[in-house]
Amino acid sequence: MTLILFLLFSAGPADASPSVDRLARAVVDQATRIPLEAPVAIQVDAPTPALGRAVASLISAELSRRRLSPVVLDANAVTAERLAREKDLRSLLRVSVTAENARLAARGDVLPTWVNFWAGAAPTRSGPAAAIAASVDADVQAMTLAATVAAGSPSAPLKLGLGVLAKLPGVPAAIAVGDLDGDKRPEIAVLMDDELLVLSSEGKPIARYDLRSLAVALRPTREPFGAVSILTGRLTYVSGRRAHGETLTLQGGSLKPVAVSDDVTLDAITVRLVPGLNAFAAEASWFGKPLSLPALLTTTSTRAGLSLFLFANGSGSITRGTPPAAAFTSAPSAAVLADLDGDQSPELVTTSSRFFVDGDDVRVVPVAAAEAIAARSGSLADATPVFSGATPRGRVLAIAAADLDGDGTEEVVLGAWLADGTGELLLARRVAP
Amino acid sequence: MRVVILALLLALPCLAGSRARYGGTLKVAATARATETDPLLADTPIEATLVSLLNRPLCRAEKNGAITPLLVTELSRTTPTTVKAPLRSGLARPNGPGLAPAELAAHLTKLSGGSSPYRALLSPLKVATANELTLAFPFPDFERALCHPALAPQGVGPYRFAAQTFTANVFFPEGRPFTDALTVTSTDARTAERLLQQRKVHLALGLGTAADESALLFATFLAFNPVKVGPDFRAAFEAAIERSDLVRFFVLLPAAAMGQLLPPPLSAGMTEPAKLPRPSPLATPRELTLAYDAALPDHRAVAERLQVKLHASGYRIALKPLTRAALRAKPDAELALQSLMIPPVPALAVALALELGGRHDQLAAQLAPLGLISDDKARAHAAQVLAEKLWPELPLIPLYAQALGIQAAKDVQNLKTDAQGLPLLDAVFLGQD
Repeated sequence: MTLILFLLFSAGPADASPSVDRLARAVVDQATRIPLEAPVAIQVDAPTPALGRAVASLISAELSRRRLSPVVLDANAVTAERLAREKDLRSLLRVSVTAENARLAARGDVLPTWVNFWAGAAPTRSGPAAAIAASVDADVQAMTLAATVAAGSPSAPLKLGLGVLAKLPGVPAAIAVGDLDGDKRPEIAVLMDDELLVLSSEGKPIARYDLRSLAVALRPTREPFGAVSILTGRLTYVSGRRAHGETLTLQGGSLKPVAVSDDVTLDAITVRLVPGLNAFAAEASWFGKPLSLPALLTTTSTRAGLSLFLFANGSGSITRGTPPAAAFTSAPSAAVLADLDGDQSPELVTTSSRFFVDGDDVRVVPVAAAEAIAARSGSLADATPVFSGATPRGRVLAIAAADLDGDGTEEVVLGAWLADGTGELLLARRVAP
Repeated sequence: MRVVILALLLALPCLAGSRARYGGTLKVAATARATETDPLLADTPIEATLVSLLNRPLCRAEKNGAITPLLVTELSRTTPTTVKAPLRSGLARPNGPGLAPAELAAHLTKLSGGSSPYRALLSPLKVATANELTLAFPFPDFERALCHPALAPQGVGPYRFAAQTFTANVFFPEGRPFTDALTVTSTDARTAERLLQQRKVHLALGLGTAADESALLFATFLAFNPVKVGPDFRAAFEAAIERSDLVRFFVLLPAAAMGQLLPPPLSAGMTEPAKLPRPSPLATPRELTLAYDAALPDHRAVAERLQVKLHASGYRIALKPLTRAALRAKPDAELALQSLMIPPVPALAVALALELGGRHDQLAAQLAPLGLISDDKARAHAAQVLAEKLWPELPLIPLYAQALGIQAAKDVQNLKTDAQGLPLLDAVFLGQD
């Protein structure tokens, strides 16, 4: 009799070890709930050989730690059972690994390979078996292992892989990416209600700046809202919850204020908060020249001569060196222009236009399509995306893009607001289609 | 051409988009007239909802048990009997100076020494100074007590009231409300429902629909003078009155029968009070007066029902409608219907029951042992045990508990309630998701 157990595992957020390690431990935990006879054969399918080898190695290490004499097989799921018997391996663990929507998942089974001598020509199985179903948040390491498309292949179909870059103690009001310390590698700055956090491009905290001691705004915003930018080694932020923004520099691992600042330059557009509202004033400046916008602004980004504007009235606009005119409706909660395929021409990365979501859309829309929709004042939701995915949870309200790994294409950092009042940074990068 | 396009852009619907939207007037129908403006007296769910638009307590008790500081920057303990509560700066009020720390301290001191039953919530308070509250004994639930709407100092709320309209207070420390204004129409339930169907209001308060059972916290008790009603009154009451009948036929819904001193959300797991033997009817009829709140239609209906049902047991009851202030000031009547908004914390509910039962002098002695229990669940259980013990001792008969029924139109977004079950109307915005 074969006993099939179906177990589902989800790693808790408290475990900070790499997600591949956590997945391997989860798989072995589930596999060892039945008595496993050593030696144990391991067979892993994965979207990339690198990810498959990494998962197999870590499962092997975990089984070895439990004195189960693992052997990794170079075989597919069908031939693995025969191969395991040929090598006299007593148990077989078969796992298929996927990395989708910021989750790293393993599905498979574990079974004994011993064949009853009296069964005759048919190799009948005996002994208990178990199903394996485990998933954990995919971190940047897992995403890197799962990625195969290199820069320089812009014509290939676009697919983004999502991974969890960092957990945040509060919701992210704004994100910026830039080289803050002059080491030619970008850092990620996250503005929250109570603090400003600077992380490495791998999501490791570098510096924190406590905002709680600063004067609160006379007319505060109801939700954390603001902007942050990194320009020529200086970080500037404005927060709707504080009386004034500041310009900071990173010195010796800590952020030091160098000036008070009430406006901030987002790519080419300099904006100023409207007191009490989650919006920037319609009077902005563009490369130093006054710019009168048609409505209050919520975010903007500029790439390769294109500028994106999202307005507080739910509309948005993409312009080419001119003030915004035609506008699309159903503007997303967050959007950014990013060159995801390295063709020197940006794509429009958007989230959903819904307010109550737990797991937000991540869509990539060709700029030309967005411009065409704007020209007829249509809904951006009607655009046909070249990629459509979703975050595992939360609602994305902050977004930024930059080439984090120096591969010539840009990655996108998404700031998700979670229901429990915390946040997380997700990294979207191009992966194999 | 540019002018035309800009005009189109400005005409885009302001209700689109995915961020919380500012603006508009939230139109509310209330099925009861808000007669009281003092937070200590305006404690029916509808009145507390409306009065809290103008007067917010120091903090808000969230449904998940968390406490959000509102008028104070923090609520923290430096010692088990010292609560740090620094008042925020710039708490502007429409008339007169802003709320000052000394005034808040005086407010709390006055409340704790006053005559309102809600003074029981402050019974652990020994001294209130500008930024610090010193307790006479450790009491971990004290911060939750400070969040009770009845204890709010007057004048600082998310709205200001003028010309029959609540207008957004842009200086409110939690941020201005999303809507610019809020209007309230006091009417009956049928009209409120019709107004909602006709889209003439966005929200109807007091319509008896399925409510969150955890919000059944507006509790009504029959307080009696044990000397004047005689020794068998409680038994005669229990024999004559079916609480579920009161709830079904005489009380505004949503409501539930209340057989314990604690309202239903706090009495889970408590043992039912022992059945009292049915007493024989009084040989000589006893003349009693039952005071009730003239502003509450269900008080009158219940009072009349008690009058009829207790008549057969030999109690000749005269009804005496009183203003709430007069009712709370210990009326010269043998019986009184008293309704209070019970905090969703068992220890605080016991404190209010003791106060209503005329045992103010025993509050410290009864609450201090509870305060020594640091574990929340264990303390709640101990409070339940104490409530069971007090049930036959206190001259108080629990009758029923009510919640606020709320119906909202589809374009009411982000409608949330606090731990007390009261809607946070300042967080509502208008728009289609």
